[in-house]
Amino acid sequence: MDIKTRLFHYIKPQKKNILFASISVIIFLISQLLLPYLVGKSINAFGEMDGTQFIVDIDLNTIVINLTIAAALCFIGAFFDFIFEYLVNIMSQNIVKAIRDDVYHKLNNAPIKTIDNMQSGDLVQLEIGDIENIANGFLSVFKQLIQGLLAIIITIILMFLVNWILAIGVIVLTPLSFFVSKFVATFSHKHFKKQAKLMSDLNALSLEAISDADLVQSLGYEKESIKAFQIQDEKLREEGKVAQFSASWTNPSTRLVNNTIYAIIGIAGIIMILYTASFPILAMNIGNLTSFLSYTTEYTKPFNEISSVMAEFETAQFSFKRINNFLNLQDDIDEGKIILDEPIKEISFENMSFSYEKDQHLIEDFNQIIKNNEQVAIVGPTGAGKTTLINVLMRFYDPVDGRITYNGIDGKDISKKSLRSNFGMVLQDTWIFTGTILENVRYAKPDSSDEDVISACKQAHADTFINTLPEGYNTLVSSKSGLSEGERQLLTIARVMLAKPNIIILDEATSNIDTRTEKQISDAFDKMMENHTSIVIAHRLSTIQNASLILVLKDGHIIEKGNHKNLMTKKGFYYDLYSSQFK
Amino acid sequence: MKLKTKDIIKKSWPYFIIGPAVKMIEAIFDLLIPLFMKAIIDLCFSSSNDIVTNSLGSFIKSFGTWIPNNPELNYSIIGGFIILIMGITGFCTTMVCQYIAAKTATAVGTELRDNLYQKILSLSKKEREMMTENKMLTILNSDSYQVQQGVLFFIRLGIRAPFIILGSLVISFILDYQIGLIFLAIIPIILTIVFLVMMKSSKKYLEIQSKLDVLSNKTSDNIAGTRVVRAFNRQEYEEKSFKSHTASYQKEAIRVGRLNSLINPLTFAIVAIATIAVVFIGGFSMNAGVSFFGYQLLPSTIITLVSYLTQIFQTLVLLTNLIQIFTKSLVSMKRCDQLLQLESSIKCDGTYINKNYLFKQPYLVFNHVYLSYKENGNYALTDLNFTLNKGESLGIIGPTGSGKSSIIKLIERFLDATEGTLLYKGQDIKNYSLKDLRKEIGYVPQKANLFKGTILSNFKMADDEASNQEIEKALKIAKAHDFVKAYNDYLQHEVEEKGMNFSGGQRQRLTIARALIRKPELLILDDSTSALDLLTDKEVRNNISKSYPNLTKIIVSQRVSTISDCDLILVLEGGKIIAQGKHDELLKTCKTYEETYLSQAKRGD
Repeated sequence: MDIKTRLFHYIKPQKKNILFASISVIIFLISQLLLPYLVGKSINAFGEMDGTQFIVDIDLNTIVINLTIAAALCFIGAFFDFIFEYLVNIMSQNIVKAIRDDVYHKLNNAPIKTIDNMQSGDLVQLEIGDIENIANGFLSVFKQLIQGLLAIIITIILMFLVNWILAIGVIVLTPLSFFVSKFVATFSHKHFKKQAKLMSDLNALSLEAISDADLVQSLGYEKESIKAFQIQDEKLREEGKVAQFSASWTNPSTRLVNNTIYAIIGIAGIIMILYTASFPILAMNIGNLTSFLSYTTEYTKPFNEISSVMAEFETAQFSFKRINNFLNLQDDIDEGKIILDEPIKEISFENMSFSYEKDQHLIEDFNQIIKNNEQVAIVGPTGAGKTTLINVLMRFYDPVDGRITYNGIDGKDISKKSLRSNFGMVLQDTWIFTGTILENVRYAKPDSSDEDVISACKQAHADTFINTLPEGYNTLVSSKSGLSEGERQLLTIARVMLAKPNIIILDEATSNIDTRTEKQISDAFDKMMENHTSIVIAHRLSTIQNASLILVLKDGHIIEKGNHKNLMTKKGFYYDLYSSQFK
Repeated sequence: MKLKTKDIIKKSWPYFIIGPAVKMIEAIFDLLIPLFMKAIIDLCFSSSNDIVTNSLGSFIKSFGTWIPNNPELNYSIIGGFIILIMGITGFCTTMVCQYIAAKTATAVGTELRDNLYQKILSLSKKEREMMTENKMLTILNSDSYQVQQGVLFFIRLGIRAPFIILGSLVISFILDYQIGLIFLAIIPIILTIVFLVMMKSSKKYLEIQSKLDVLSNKTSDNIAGTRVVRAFNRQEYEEKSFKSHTASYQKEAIRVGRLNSLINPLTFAIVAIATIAVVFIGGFSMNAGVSFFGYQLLPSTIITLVSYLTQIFQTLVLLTNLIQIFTKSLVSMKRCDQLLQLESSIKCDGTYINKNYLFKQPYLVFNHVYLSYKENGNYALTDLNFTLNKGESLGIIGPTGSGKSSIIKLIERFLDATEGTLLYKGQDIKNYSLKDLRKEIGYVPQKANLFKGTILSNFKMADDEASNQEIEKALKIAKAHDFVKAYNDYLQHEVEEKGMNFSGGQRQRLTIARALIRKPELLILDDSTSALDLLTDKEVRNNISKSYPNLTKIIVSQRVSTISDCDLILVLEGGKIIAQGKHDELLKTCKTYEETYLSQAKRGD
């Protein structure tokens, strides 16, 4: 979808709101702008010009009628102004929600590859900051535009009604104010951008040192670090001064322009009154002058307001462009239609090759059959392709060449949902979301009871530490705080214990757990996995000695396979790796 | 001396007087312009005069008459010029004030940030953990900016806004005291309404902000857990739960919006009604003969009063915004002060240097050492006693959370012992200057973090006089030279934030090399070889022993193999030493040690 279509897509459901908002704003503006007209008329009813002298001759009736109408209009105007602002706000929040939900949907349905290739911070910025920008920018511009443009049109009409000559004068003069404030806004926006950049540099600098303050102190690097901070801070000061100063031109220069216009229109009006007797075409009087001075202010206001939100509008445009690009990304296509009606018994890699990038050779011509109830261990140096293998197995990525069959069916033909429901996986990078311990573990199987969750935690040997937490199972945890890496691993293991899947994948799942606890967990797994297939990746070779099949991977190839005994007698790569522990 | 935010602001006190003073010139002109307009109108059209027209009128007349046959035209042109000149002069003086404001505010902000940063780095681990990293960063980056904004707007508008409102009020009283009373009545009404709504909505705004935080957390959780979400097939659930959060955000935002939508219509209505009232009263007063108030208002007065009304109204809205900025700024000031008032609990006034240190004295002694992170809290370390001699190695092993790293924190003096004493080179460790102590220690932390810059810049951090040969030597010992050599730019190779462009193992080797470059007397490896494979781990340790035979070492690890050849091994559990000795002794005497060893290596066949 291009940007316009996308924008229209979000605006379309809001037609009713737009319609009623527009009607309300028209009523409001007419009422508001008629006020100076009626006030001018009342003042005219105070008396008449005789030559150049104002002679008092009150027409109380006219005054009372005009002011009563004005008072009524004032209440009507206020009411519809409220309705207008209220509707615009509802509309903007509806649109914000729609975009947010769409972005989140995309996050959950884009291919893993897409998510992997993007920075997590950028994605959060897209979902939170960019959408806020749209709400602030687009919608305030929308509001100012509707209100401003209508106000301008109505004011022009009313000014012509009062006095066409001065009306032309105002129309010619006011764009001045628009250009001045637009110029100031663009100029200061540029400097604010620079300031923002310097600010985020300074943030990064301080974040680095503060989050590693121990190290900085231990290296005795405080003085240098403070100096580096001061240098960066000084740059920020220089730019900040310029930015703040340039932004502060807005109000004074607008005031200057307005005062100038006020003086010119005022004096011109007075002169016109003086000559109305000799040149009736000027048709000016004191009441009209009062109305005019009000209209001049009313007329310049929308110009200033529109130009002041222009910078926000540009930001919003950028944000919307980014969101549109993200939403235009291809969804993860699941061409697999087959739904497995029985658990996966056999997995077979057939001449399978895979790489993340073209021209890169990660896994090549991989052949292996994993049978039911087999306990497979994959070992090998970093970068051998162990985790990649899991990525392909779970269909987070598809093989570049060859295929993987599950129960003899090509993986590509099986629906991802059905395929993945066979696996339970514990990854190297633990994932704990913001929520209670109970919620985090239950995530694996939403319909399980508290008792089930607790018993899974007991099996994972997580129960002991959970009970030392302030609120036990109801303690709130998040990705950032609360738990040590080892404790997080225990929780993710508990998840799999709860899900009891057919096939268990453990990718360095116990790397931060002390070896004794690890042993106890692996016993628990052994008990649980008696009738299960398991695939384990481990650095610590001691944990995998019981595996029925050990695959030794190097550079994407299986270089050795067999059980622990066979591999040890072979005295090959595995033997070296293993014996290094006891040297 | 403890610095406060106030002290930093006070330093710029002359600007707080000059700035607003210059700005007053414009404010006075702004107040005079409608009066001049009135004087011109009266000079032209009215035979009756009031005090304003008399004084300003004679001022205009003093410029002389150049168009003799049409004095009215003459006066209005002169008056027009006077108004224009006042506008331009006002503009120029204002810009002077704006410049002073920008300069002073950024100076205050910068000095505040520098001081905050300095303070943070001087704090010990205890205070830093108490404040939390996030809070310190917020104070440093956003609260300091908030204070800066407060200063900026105070100089710019702090005096001007109230002055304009008061001035308009005074002038309206001079023009007509009864209408002045109307003005006096509406000012508090508008102020109260706008203020009430703003107070309420800013409270609600905090709620909205926290709802937005929830959305943000949910999004980053979801991104981090992409694989898990899909592995458990929970995409639909995720979306549903997210939608319920966006719905609640939407509801709250609409509620706040509704409140804010009240401000404009209400103020519009009040000002409009006031205008109507002014004209109405004016009309009655002018109704000759039946004068309602017993005197007459000039039509010019009515026009002028209406423009003061607008003036008051606009400034009031500005004033309420200002009050909000100042409130925020005051809160931020308090938060900054809270940080500035902190004092490091580690006193580093010690100056002792043990020049007479003899090898015969133990290098490090723990004597009944206890450590508690909170006052009266549970002990993280309980009654530790051990002795380490110069040139020997100490291994520490134990499960997660057993207190291994806490021991290291005591030796580095990130923390002080709650009870008991640490003797370093025969002297209480507190007697040394912090700088000298840390200079002698090469510390490789658990988290192998590098700083943004280059490989070279990271080494220079540890020792800014290190030569390339020395760095090369350290790299070779830490087995990092091979991969560093492979970079075209060698030591100039870029290091991204936290060294994320290196693998965990590479980072650990670089941090070990970085510690070695300092030629330490004591090397501490806090689980710092965990990401290395066993072979490399062993080689690195052997290299270190060979190259620095006199180096005293402390090695913390979960791997028995890493510490098995140490001269002394401490087995920790629950913050207590449950056994200490050499590897072979421990295998016989300590069951936990034996079990740990067996769990890592069944030697069987």
